[in-house]
Amino acid sequence: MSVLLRSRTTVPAEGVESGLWQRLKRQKGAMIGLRILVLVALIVVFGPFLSPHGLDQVFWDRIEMPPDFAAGFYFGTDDNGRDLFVRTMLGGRISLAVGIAAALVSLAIGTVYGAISGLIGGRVDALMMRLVDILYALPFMFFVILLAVFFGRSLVLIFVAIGAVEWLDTARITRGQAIALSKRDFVDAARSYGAGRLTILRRHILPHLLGPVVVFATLTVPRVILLESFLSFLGLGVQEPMTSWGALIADGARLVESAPWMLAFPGGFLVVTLLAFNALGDGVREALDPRGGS
Amino acid sequence: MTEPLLDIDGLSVVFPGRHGPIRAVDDLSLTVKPGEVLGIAGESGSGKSQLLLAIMGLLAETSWAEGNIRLDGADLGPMTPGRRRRWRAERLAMVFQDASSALNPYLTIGRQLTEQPMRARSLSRAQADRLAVQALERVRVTEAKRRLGQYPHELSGGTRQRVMIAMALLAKPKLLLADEPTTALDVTVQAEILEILRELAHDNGTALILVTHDLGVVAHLCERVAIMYAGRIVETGPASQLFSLPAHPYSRALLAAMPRLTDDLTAPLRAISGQPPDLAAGEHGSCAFAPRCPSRMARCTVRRPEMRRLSLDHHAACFLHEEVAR
Repeated sequence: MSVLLRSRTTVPAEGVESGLWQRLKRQKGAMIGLRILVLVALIVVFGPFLSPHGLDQVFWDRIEMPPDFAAGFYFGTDDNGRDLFVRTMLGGRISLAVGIAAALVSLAIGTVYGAISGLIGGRVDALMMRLVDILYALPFMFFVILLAVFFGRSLVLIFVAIGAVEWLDTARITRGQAIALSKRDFVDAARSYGAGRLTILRRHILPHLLGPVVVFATLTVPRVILLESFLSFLGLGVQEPMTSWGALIADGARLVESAPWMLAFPGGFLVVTLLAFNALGDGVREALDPRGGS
Repeated sequence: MTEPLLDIDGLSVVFPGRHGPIRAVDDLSLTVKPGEVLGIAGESGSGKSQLLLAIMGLLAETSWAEGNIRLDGADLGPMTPGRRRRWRAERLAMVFQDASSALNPYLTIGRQLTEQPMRARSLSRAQADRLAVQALERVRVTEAKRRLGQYPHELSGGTRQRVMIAMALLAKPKLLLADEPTTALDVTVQAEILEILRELAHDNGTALILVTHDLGVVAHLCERVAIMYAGRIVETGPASQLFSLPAHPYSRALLAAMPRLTDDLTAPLRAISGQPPDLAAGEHGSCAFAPRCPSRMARCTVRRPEMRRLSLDHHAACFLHEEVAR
C-alpha cells in the first residue's frame, strides 16, 4: 500500500491509480469489507467515551458478570471485575495499530528489497537472499528477548520485532515475482529504450507486484495481530492494565466455560476485522488489474 | 563508400550446453549502411532472433556474446555498461514479435509512448502527448487521441503492433530492428504493417533490419537479403539477385519450398529433407548444410566453405562457387 502511495506522487494523474478507486467501487465484497473496517475503527476509537467505566477500574461486586445494559456493562466484566466493553475497545486500538503499522512497514521493506534483489540478479541477488536466510534462521523468540533486554518492554519493540521478521516472507515472494517479470518482453522493450534500473523498477516491476503484495498484506495483518497476542501472552508485549485483542482472547479462552462472553466479544471483533481485511484485499487486487472489470 | 551504421565482426552468441557450448550465432559478420533495408531470413533456430538480441544488448543472462559490434562509428565493446545502454538507446529501436507481451498491461498507451521522449528529450507531458498522437496518426491508428488513455488489452492485435512501431518512431532511431513483426497478425493486417514499416524507413532514412522466416515479406520489403543457417550467414545479396539467382543450395531449397499460387494445389508441399544440425555438436570442420545438401561434394564434409564474392555485393559460402570466384 505504501508502494501505491509512492507511485502516486511520482506519476501524476491518469495512471493505473486513477481508475483504481472507480474499479474498487465496483467490487461489492471489497466495499463491504471497507465499510466494516471503517465501522470497527470508529467503534474502537469512539466507543470508550460511551462507557462510564475506566480501563483498569475494578468492580469487586461484579466479577465475571455477563452483559448488563442497565448498569452500563455492555460486554460484561472479566475475572478481575473490569468492564469488558472498554477493554475490548482499547485492546482493539492496540491490535489494529500494531497490525496495520507492522504489516505496512514489513511490506514496504520486503517489497522493495525483494524487487531489487530479483531485478539485479546474479551475485547481488544471491547475497541479499542469503542475508534473508540468515535472518530466517534466527529464532523469533530469541530475537524478541534480545530486544527486550536492550530496550525494555514497549509497544515500539513489538513493531520492530514483528516488522523485522515479517518482511522476510514478503521479500521472498516479491523476488520471485520480480524475476519472472524481468523476463517479460515489455521490460526488455523498456530497457531497449534506455530506461535505467530505477525506472524499470518503479514503472514496470513495482506496479505488477502490487497485486500479490496486497493479497499478502491481508494475510499479514491478521498474522501480526496474532503474533502480538502471542508476545503479550508471554509478557513481552502489551503490559497490564493495557490490553489487546490477542491478550483478551487468551484470557477468554482460559475461562470459556464459566464466562463465554469474555471470548465471544474480543474474538468476534477480531474475526470480523480479519474477514473484512481479506475481502478488501481481494477487491483491491482485482481493481489493480486494469484488464478486469472494465 | 559511406561508413556502415552497423558493423558486426565475428559475432558469436554462446549458450552453455551439456555437451559443450552451443553457438546460436556462430562467427557472424554483417554490415548495415545508413538507411538500408536488410532482410534476414532462415528457418526456426537459425539464430536470427539471437542475432537481434545481441545487437540490442538484450541477450539472456545465461548466454554471452563474443566478437565486435560497431554502431554508428563506435565500438560497443570497450564502453561502460551505462554508456553502452545510452549509446544503443539513442540509435536503436526494436519492434518485438508479439506486441501484446511487449506492452506493459498496467500502463496506458499514452504513458508508454511518452516514457522515452519525456526522459530522453525532457519534454513536458503535454508536448510528449502531442508527439505521441502524431506518431499514432503516422502509423494510421484511428482516434489517436482517445487511444492514449486506453490500456493494451483494449486494442486489437494489429493496433498494438502499430503502437509498438509508433513507440519505435518516437525514439528516432537510426536503425530499427523488427523481429518477425507480423507473425502474430493475420494476412491483411500483415500487409499494412509491412507497408507502414517500409514507408517509415523510406521517409525518415531509418535503416531497418527485418527478421522473418517469410520470404514473401523479404521480397516485398527489402533491398538486401541475408540467409541464415545454423547461426551463420550462408548467402547475402541484393534481394532481386538473390531471389532470381540463388547461389547457395540452402537458399535454393528455401525458395523452392515456398508455395506459389500457380502450384498444383493437390501436390504435397516441398520441404527440405533432413533436420537442421545440432548446434552443440560443433562441427567446425564441415559445412553445416552438408548433410541436407543435394549438391554435396567430398570436401563439404571436410572443410567449411568461406564467404565468396560472386558479384558486386552478392556473397555466398559454398564450394560450388569457388571456381567461379577465381
